[in-house]
Parts: sequence; C-alpha cells; structure tokens
Amino acid sequence: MEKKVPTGILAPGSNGNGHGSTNGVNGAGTGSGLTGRFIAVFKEGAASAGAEALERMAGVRTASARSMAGEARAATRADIVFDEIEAAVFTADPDQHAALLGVAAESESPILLIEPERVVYALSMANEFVPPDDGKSSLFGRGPFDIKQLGIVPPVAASADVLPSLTKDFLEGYRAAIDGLLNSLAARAAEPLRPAVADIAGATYGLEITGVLGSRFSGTGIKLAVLDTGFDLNHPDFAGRPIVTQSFVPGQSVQDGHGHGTHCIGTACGPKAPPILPRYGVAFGASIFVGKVLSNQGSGADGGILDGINWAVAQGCHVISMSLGAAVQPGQPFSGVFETVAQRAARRGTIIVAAAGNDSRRPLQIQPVSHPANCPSIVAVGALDVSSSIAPFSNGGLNPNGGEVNVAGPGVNVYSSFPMPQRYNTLSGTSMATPHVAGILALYAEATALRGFPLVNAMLPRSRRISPVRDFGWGLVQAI
Amino acid sequence: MQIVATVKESSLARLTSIADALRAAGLEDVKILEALGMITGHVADAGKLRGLRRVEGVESVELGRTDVGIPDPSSPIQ
Repeated sequence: MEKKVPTGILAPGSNGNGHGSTNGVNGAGTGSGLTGRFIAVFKEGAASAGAEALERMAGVRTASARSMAGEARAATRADIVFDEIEAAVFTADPDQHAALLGVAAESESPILLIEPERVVYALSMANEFVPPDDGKSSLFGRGPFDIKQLGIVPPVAASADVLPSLTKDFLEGYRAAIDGLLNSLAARAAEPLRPAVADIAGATYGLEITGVLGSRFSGTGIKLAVLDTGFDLNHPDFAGRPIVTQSFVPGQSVQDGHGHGTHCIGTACGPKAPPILPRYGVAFGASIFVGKVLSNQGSGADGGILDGINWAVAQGCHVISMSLGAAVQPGQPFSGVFETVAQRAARRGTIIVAAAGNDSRRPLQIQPVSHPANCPSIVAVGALDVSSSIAPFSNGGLNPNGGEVNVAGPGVNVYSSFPMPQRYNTLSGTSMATPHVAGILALYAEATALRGFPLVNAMLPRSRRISPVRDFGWGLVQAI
Repeated sequence: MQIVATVKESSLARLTSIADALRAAGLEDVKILEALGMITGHVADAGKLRGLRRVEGVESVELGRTDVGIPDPSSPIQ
C-alpha cells in the first residue's frame, strides 16, 4: 500500500479534540485523563526500526496494524504499530517506560517521542483550546492543511479497494490513536503561560517564551534561507560563520543597506553566545543562506522573490523565511503561482514561512493575511508581544482557503542584529515573528529529520494555545 | 508587465523548449526557475497574454505583483 504521510499543514481545531472518537482505546480511560497506555512516534521511515527498539529495549512486543484483523486487535488490546503514520500504541509498566524514555533520548534512536496516551473527552477539557466547528469555520478545516490529510481519512476513503479487510472497530481504534497522539501533544501546549519577562538573563524574551533557551537543538546540519534585504557581511557576531549569498536585486549587492534582512537573519540564526549579550538568535547551528530579493529601499516583486525561492530550493535549503508581503483585500484569493511553488518546494523538502503582514490597526481594524503568506501551503506567522497579546498591527485569518494565520511568534520590540556600526536594533512587525518560527522549524528539522509538510505538522501542535484562532492559529510557537 | 508562467507537472521535463515557445509568443527577459517549474519574464502589453497561455505545457500565466516588500527603514513597524 502506498505510504501515507501527512501532507499539507494541519489546521488548529482539526486535532479531533472535543470531536474525536470516544470509542476504542481511549474510551477505557480513568479520571486521570490517561489511558495507562503509551504512544510512540517514530522518526520518518523508521517504523520497523522503532518497533524493534521497543521490543529490544523494553520488551514491548508489537504487531503491525495491517497484519491484524480489527476484532482481534480490539479484543486483545495488543500493542500495535501504525505503519502509515509511523507510530505505535502500547502498554508498558513504569520500568519499561523509563527504559523507553532512555531509548527515545538517544540521538540515533528511531523513536522520536513517547507520551502517555490521553483520554479523549467528548467536550474540551478546561482551559483547552476549543476548535471552531460551527460549519462556517471550514476556513480551518479545508484544503491541504486539513487533519483529513493526516493519514486518517485516506485509508477510510480507500478502504473498499485498498484495505478490504478493515472493520469499523479497527478504523475507530486507528482514529482514537491519532486523537490520543494529538491530544498528548496538545497537552504540552496547555501548560500555563510563564510570567512575561523582558530581555533579561542573557537572552531576549522571544527566545524565552518560545522555549528556545531550553532546547538542546541548534539547527546543526539544517540549511535556512532568509529572503530579504540581504545581510551585513561584516557583522562581528557572525564572524567565521559560513554564509552562502546571492542577490536577485539588479544592481545591488547582498550587503544590507536597509537593516531588515540583517535583523531577521539574526533572529533566525544568530549566535548562541554573542560577544555582547543578550542572545537573540534561535538556530545558531544552522547554515545561513542569504537571498537578497528586496532592495535597500525595501521594495520587491514576485519575479525576484520566486527567483530567490528557486535558488534556495536548488541549494537544498530546508526552511525559507520570508518576512515580506503585499496587502490583500477581504475575499481576494491567494496566488496560484505561489501555492504551486510552495507545494513543489515542500516536495523537495523545503518549507516556506512568511509574515502574516502588518496592515491591521487593532482593535478597530483587522486586515487579512498578506500575499504570499495567504497561500494554503505557506506557513503564515502572526505577531504577539512579551505578554503573548496580539500585536496591534498583526493581520488576522479573515480569508478562507489558506488565508488563516498558522502560528504566532514574538514580534513586538524584538532585539536582534543590525548593520554596523549600529550593530543591534529593536524592531516590531510580523517580519520579526517570522524568523523565530523559521529558526524553530530548523530545530525541529534537526531533531526529527522530518522534511516538508510533515516537519511543519510536527511543530504546529506543540504551540502554546492562545485564543482566538483567527489571530494566533495554533498559538505561540514552541521549540523542541 | 511581469509574468509568471506555471509549467504543468507532466511537462516539467520540457522546461527549456516551453521557455523557447513562450519567447516566440512574445515573452521577454525569459528566465527558467528550474527547481520550481516556473518561467518568468515580461510582456509589453496584455495582448500577449492569450498567446502565452496557449503554449503547450503551460498550466497558467499570472501577472506578478511588483509591490511585495517591507516598509522603508524609518518605519516603526517592519
């Protein structure tokens, strides 16, 4: 059978929480909110190796879902591996669980993470994100980011000819496992917000509230492109750092005559320990690719931007950060060109992240997400402040079909690098939120080895939920 | 006018010949974006668009936006 992997970016509220099955494995839960079982997510392509590791390290015996009849599976509640989504649900006593956590922590481990399986309630748990589900909010449940792409519906839809032996029980168990997985991820995000902190303790607030400071990943081995106004190639904080550059602006070198590009690159890729504190950069181990697609005056056009994307994809960049855009009107559709580009790029392992735009003047006026962030297959980033309140300028998910905000990042009073001699500057905008998300995607890319849409879908559900979805999407982005 | 032509999935192997056909149909400053399967360029007038769209292997022809950017450096919001 064709391997099913998530395609498209998941919409918040599509995690089945509050709408998922109450049958199957999750229905037997207790008041603890946990089923007593565990879910293991394997690294991409590592389902077999992961199942072997489960058995070898902790004596957990698994069987492929494909090889078991649904009734047998339901009756025995056997440990089971879902090959198509590269995950397993299993029972384990505390000793086994401890051993497995050790396995998962090894960098060469085929297991990405292990979490307790959670009971899915018919209604949302307190303080948990309530997805829009009023029928009108198909805004968040349609297109390539729909949960239906997560390998749940395709086997169901194809069951008549592809999986003739599947039963309703099997499929409900399958769905329940996904619900549990997504809820276990969501639970992390439901932790209370820490008190807001200013740029203290040697790092910016942006790195603090996104959990970057606690991450053991740096984006090492990951190529991150920033398509912007270029970069100050003489910036002392980046001395000795390998940087690949290309200008797509006729008559202008990569050298940043604006400041915007240097600031964004600082946020995405700035050093772990800059000579002058605080630290301001996320993926300090990532390889930096600078594509100048905006002039020193800040202007650009689709042609040059596509040129830059083409270059970054050809260079094998895993993440492209684009803090740029053009306003769109309510009801205006997304660009078919950029949507196709984003899909083709994702197929080659490159994800595009773009700013939601700064056209709003809240609370009175909210404008739709800008071009090209409004494309379904481009990650649209909104901006919030040190208190996790929406930035007054940050655009909202007003337009359907990709026009939603996917995730939010720090975008008010963001301190980062700036062309010499100024060296540093504090700026605000969804432009500043975008490279936070791009840098964090590089951390996930290093940690999970996922690429393309599955990489984004590993990150989004871990965001810290903030309402409303219109403004924050999945919430405040969180590092791995 | 800036033009972006999307080449069909099934015709991606023929990018160069499609670019030649677009040039023959009036596209100037032709540039092939090979990794994306796109061809960009300019036309002097909108009358050429129909001819570009008729080129075999072309899925769509869009006008490129030329107002994509960021505020000037003095703006408080970037």
